[in-house]
Amino acid sequence: MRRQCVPQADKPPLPFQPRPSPDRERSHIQKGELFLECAKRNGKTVFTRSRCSYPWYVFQPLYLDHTGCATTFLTNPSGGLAGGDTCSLLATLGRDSHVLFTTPSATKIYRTIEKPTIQSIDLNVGANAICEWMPEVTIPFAGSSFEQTIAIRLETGATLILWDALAAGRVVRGERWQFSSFANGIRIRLADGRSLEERYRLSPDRGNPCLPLNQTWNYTGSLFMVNDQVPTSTWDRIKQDVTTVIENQTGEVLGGVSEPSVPGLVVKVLTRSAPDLNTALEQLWHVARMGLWNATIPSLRRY
Amino acid sequence: MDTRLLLQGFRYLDTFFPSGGFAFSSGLEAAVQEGSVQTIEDLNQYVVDYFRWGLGPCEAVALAQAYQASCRREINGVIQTDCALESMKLCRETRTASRQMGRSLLHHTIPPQNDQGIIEEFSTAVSSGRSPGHLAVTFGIAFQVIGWDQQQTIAGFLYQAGVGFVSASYKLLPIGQREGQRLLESWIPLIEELSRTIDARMPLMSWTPVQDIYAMRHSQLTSRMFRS
Repeated sequence: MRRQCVPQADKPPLPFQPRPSPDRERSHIQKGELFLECAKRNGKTVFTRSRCSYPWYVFQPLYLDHTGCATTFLTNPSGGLAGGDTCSLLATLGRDSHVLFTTPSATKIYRTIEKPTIQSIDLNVGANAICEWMPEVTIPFAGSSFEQTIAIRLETGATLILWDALAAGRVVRGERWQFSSFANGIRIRLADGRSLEERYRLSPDRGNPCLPLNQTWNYTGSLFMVNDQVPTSTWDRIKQDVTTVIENQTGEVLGGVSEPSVPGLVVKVLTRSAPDLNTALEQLWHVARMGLWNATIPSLRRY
Repeated sequence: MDTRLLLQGFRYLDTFFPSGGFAFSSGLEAAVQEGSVQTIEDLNQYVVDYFRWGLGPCEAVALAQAYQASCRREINGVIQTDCALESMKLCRETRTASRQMGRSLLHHTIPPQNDQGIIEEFSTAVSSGRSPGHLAVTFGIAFQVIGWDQQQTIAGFLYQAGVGFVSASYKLLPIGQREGQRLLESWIPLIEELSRTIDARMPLMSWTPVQDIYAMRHSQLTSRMFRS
């Protein structure tokens, strides 16, 4: 299954061109590729070119508020990712554009006995553009193996809000930290070469990396906000608001905020339940948007 | 190990050396004040997690990379590792502490006669802002120049970190010298394992969410004895 969303014959070839893959036809393994180019036209962001292949599916953008932000749900109709699946996404956001990437539900990683599931995300964010990467939590099932890389390049003045959350497993059925391996690498690079990185590999079978201080944290999330042109005073104000949000959480939440090695903020959150995680995220995201653009968060109408 | 080399290294491992490590707790003070670390068992878990998922795969790997670059006299490799470690340190307090201790060690390090200038080159890079000057990186260069091997250097680095935690815990928890010695003794096998298995070819990794969060929360405490 391959879907050409907006063909443009007069432009250079898209990455991820269709190519014969006899091996894939004989296998259940999926190799999904999604390519997206965005630009700001007449006050709103449009997708100028796109291509996707199963299991990726990209919808045409939704405009959920007055800002012209293009919201797109990255959909995987197969329900989850299995061992051997490889999913790649390459998106280029043109100058001044604004795209919100999200998913309609959690990303489920199924058990595998051989190859890991691999997901690689590459986002190029043009000058003064805004990229919000706000997927639902990733749930690695028992026995699953997942490797994710997220590489983001920000041009001068570009803004990134990135959320990345991990569940211990299918918590409600008592499955916690039983995946085989979970590797995650996030790299955010500014135009001047400075960068911020988060990288870890968890292998619960070998020692126990996942039960810090023997407490029953089930969800962990990181929120990154980066922009090289925002004044320090704005970041200070957002940091104060984030601190207030964390201190006022009514659920069982442990969180903190600090300044990373690039201009911006990083927030880390641990919670015991998914509702607590979602509540914390909504409030943190709201604070970020209000502080940066005086804008509320859009209603994503998932449920 | 040659006794002279051993003593050369002791100069920088001794708590008498003014690296400033006594001023930092790596989030332990916040964890104690907020009730997560109350007993010697809690403290042990906090530090062991930190060794295994933070100091080992991140700082000690950076140390090994700097050590190897120093062996080859490749200042650019040292700077590259230093910058990579900077980008991995998401918490400002932790990053600042590491830079301050690294710069202090760099400032006080007296290279032996056979040094080919890597310490001076790195010192210039740090003072000019080209390199952050993190402790693990400076430690790797300094001990390579002294003549310790990589495994001994990593072990010394981790042992010094362990001593720092014990020292902080004396002020934060009802722990005596005997318990402190027992903790240090219990960490030696882990330190030995990490120093033996860590390889400069590994990528820097870190997974210490609880310690990171408490380090972030430290600046919000109403009363503080430590700077991180």
